[in-house]
Amino acid sequence: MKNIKFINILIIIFFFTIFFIYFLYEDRFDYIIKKIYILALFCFLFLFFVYFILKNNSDKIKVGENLSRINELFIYSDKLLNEFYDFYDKSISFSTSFHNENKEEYKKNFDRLYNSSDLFDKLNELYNKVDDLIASVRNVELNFNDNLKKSDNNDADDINNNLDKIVLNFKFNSEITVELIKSIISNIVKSSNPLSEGIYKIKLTVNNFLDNISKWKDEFTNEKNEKNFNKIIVKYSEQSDEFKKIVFMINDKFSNLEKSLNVIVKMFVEINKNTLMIHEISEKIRLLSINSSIEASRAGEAGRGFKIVSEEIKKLSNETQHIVDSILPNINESKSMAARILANFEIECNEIIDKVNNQKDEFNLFYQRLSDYYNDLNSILASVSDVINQINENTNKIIPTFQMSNLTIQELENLDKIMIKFLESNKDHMELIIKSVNEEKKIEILENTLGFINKIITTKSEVELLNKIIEKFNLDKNRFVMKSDKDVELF
Amino acid sequence: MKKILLADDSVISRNLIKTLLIRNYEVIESENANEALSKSKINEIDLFLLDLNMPDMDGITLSKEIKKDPRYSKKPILILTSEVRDEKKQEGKDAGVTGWIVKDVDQEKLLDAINRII
Repeated sequence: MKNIKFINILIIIFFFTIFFIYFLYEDRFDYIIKKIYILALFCFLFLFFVYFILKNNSDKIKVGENLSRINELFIYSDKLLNEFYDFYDKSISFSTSFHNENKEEYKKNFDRLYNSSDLFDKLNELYNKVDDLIASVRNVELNFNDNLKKSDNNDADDINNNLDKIVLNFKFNSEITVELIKSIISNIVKSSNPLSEGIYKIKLTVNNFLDNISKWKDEFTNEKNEKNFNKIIVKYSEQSDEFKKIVFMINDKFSNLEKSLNVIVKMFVEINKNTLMIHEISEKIRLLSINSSIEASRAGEAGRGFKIVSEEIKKLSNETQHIVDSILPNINESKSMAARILANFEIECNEIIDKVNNQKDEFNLFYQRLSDYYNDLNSILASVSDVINQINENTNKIIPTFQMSNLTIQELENLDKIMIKFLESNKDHMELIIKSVNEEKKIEILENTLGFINKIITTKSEVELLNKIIEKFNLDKNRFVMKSDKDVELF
Repeated sequence: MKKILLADDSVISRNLIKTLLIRNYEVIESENANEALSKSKINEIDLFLLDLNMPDMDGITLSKEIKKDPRYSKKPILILTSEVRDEKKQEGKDAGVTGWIVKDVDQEKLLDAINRII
């Protein structure tokens, strides 16, 4: 500052020297030289004023630039807040549509949410911008301090104090803002990783499930597929008819056999009866024959007729015997026939049994198929249940991250209000450049700023941050409302 | 499902609490005290969750108005706040408030408290 003033004084001295020389010796100069001289004077004057104005305003311009940058930050944070609201709305829509079991809405909202991913980068950008701003404010402060030290102006101390006040205000507000932004970024990081992981897992589960459902659907509805239930049922129906036929067939055969056997039995009974009769008759005749012979012998010559009769009777007996003998083969024949019938029956029975056995195998196969089918269905149902459980579990995991996002949005909202106040208060403080600042005033400024912030903040992490700042600057805690450290308190 | 009336002028705060409760309870929202009173008349509310600082009426005054309705004279009322000043708490107790909830509350603690008193 001293150098600037020295140069300014030199320029003024030089100007007036030239001016006096011109007026003292005007009559000795040519017309052209006079004109050149006047032009030179005006040039110097012009340059002098330009130099003076630019030099004195350069730092003011820098402070003004910083204010406009703060304004830009405010606009940027406003935009960021709107993006976060949008992200938040998408998260809530996603969560609500899942709870309402509206599958179409759920899929639509899931896609929308999954594609929102650049918030963290934007917040980082905001943080870097504020960091740059603080660095430039510090540079301005250093510049002013250097210039003031070099100046021999009596008001240097006052100007320095006022400047300190402005810079302190910048510093405090910027540091608080940076801490808030850091906390917000930390929350975003904490919530975004489990959120994106959770969403990814849900997406994977849902995709796998949809693929499998598609596959199972094809298996069970494809006409050519053995697992087709309709095919199994139709086959069963066919088997059933076949089985009925076999049963009827067995029935018929047994009925026929029974009839045949009854016939044979009757035959045997008849034959037996006749045989017995004949036998009886034969015996009677034999007896009669014997008696007749005896009587014939007794009668002598007179008994000759008896002898003839007895011989005739004997012949009858023999004939009868002959008949009996001829019957025997029939009996034998009948026996053979019965044996044949029985043998055939056994064969046919075996055939039937074989057929039934074959059918039994078919039926076994059928029941096996049906059992397989139901087992598959059970696995499908178990898989569906498993998928639903996984989705449920992952949704439960991401609900706390929604809460974290809610808190972050709340903090962003609060930060927005703080930055508005920051901008306004710095504009006000620029007007105080002519007033002096003491230590008490510095504390008052800080307490006012923190007091305002205290009224706006609502979350626990913001409260903790505020307490840290209060401790850092050794401020009176009683001026600030202490916040609760318990989540829930019942009376 | 039991009904909870949630009164808060901040959309964010309402959504924050609603997300925690939506699976277990039916949440009826209102953005100011007068709307909360209207909704309490047409619904059968089982529990009230009221923000302390609302533009038209604070939570404690609202709880007094709610208690005037004979249906709700014994229903539980919880205040949403981060304040812990004793005089404010006493004011709440005198008004018949059942408890205080901090807004960034843990889901399990909130559900546990509501399950105990609803």
